[in-house]
Amino acid sequence: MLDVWLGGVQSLMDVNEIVFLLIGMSIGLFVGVLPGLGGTTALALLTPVTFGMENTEALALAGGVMGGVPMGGAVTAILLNTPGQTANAVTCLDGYPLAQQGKAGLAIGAAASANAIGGIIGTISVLLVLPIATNLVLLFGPPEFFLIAILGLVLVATTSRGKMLRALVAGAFGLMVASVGYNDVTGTERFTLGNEYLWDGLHLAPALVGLFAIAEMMHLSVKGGSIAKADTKVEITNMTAGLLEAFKHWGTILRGSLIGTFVGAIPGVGVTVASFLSYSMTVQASKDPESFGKGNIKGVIAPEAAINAKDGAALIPTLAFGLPGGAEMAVFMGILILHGMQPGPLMLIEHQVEIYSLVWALTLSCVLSSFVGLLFARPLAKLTQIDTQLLAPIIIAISLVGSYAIDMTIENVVLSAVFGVIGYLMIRFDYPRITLVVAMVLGSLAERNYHQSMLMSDGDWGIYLARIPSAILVVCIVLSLLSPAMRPFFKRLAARRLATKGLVP
Amino acid sequence: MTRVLGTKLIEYMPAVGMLVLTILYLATASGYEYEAREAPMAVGWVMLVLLVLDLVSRTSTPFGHALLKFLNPSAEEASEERFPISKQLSAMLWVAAYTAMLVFVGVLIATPLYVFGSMRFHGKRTYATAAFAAVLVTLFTWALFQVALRVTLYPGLLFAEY
Repeated sequence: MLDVWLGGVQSLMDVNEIVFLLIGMSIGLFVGVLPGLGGTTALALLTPVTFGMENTEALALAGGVMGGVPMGGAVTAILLNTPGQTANAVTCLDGYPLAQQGKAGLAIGAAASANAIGGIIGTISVLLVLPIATNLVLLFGPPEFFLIAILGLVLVATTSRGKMLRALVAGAFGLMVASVGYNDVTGTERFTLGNEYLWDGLHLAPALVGLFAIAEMMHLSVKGGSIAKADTKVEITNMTAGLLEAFKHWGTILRGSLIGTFVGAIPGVGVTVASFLSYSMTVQASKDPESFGKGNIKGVIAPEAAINAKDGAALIPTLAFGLPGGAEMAVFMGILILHGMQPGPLMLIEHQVEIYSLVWALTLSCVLSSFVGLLFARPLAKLTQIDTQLLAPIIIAISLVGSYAIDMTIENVVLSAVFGVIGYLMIRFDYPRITLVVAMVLGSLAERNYHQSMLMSDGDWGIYLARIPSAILVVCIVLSLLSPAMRPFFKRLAARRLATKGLVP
Repeated sequence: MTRVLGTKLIEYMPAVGMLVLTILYLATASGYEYEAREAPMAVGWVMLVLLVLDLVSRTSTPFGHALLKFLNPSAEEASEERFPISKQLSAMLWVAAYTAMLVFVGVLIATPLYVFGSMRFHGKRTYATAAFAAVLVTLFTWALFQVALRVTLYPGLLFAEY
């Protein structure tokens, strides 16, 4: 195993890979500070650009972006009370009060340490779990892969915080989209309207460019104005003390990182849940919970550690089972597929070097971006003053040309534009886009494995309960479907327990 | 704006549009051989049920509210930002216009026209700012794709050599 880990390091230690990693990290920091952009949009925008690159170069770029985004989001959350990403909103709770007390440097320093350590712990979890996952997926056959695809869809839909119905609608739409094109099992050409371009199905990469990069820019351009209106004249001092402060609260960092790792490994739960959970558990464990929300440094450390640990852990279901845990991972899967690496068991066996180079790239980016974020905190905060009416046309133009560049097909541009409008309408009418993407990715996998299972069993549905792994997956699916109904019961139970302890009135 | 069962008509539009699309999808799928239509038919029927639930949950009726509270509680709490429809349509039309221009006149003509037009007329920026951005973005696009990535930029249907 060590030789594969080292192989990953070696492949990353090339000038090109390092340069792409640094470019990715810079882009990650840049988009991380801008609410509405984020890692998903950045990856969607970069997908076409990676087309001509070597696999490890593309992964270094993607890893750089994913590692850089959280630190960018933390800087503006602390300085301007403007979270770059939704997950950074928790950092605002104590980070901004600290900045108002003249301790912005302390908060940014602590966030940087927490980011770096969280990222490293996330990486360790991937390194430990991936070899086990490799052995586990070898036990799986078509029934298990069919059930895994269904479980992925159900998990993403049921965990779409309070939007289950619309998430399911978006998921069903994604399955409809996934059925377009040549069917592997029957050899039938479906829903192509006689268009040759659609024979291979709706191309994932241009669709993702539309759904994320273009839709977000349309949304920003409709909103108008600059992203943040807060004053950027904030004193930033005492960062070194902040860096060390995080180490004094190692228990908080460790708890946050472990929560991030655990949540990250569950598809669909999302980074925001990880950061909120980490924060609330830190408050509950604290001896002076009243100090939170008024500038407690642990309120910065806990969410930031969770956010970065989550990134590494989210790679586990994505790479091992082809289940993207969130929108960022779904777009990242688009990059993998574009480079001929189909996430799933074969990838774990055939592309080990690429996987580990990605893991190291992500870790290196987390650590480097923390230091770069510290150095450039002030200019990064100023980026939020960018006028959205300037930003939107520029990103839309580059996205659409990039979409053409994927395989020099003009139909890609039309597809991106169509999905851009669909994505915007989904934002406007409150349908989560992540379930659409996950369904588009998993649709053909589910159908192919369903047919293969039926062939294996002569059409007997009992095959899904006949083997232990598939029976476990069926139970997981049923529990996931029941979870929204069970959630109020558990909430009441938790409230009753807290009330008996006298923690809440 | 016209209201149906207490809800603005526009709020039903996505679900109604999807309903029409799903019916067409089911009609098309029914023409395929059994194995090829099995999955699409199942997805199509599930989609119909979900869309009916979505439509009902959007009504301002006691049953609609109850359904929304149970299946989509965040929609009840959301304090949604609302923007003028004209502004939203304008944003979509600019993207559509740019796409059409890319197809017909190619990247190097469509890009400056779009960036300039969108910034000046949709974003209400000065002529100078819009022109400067248009030139800059076109140069960047050309340098990134044509020079660095060696992608031959699309010349447009009108200027293609075939």
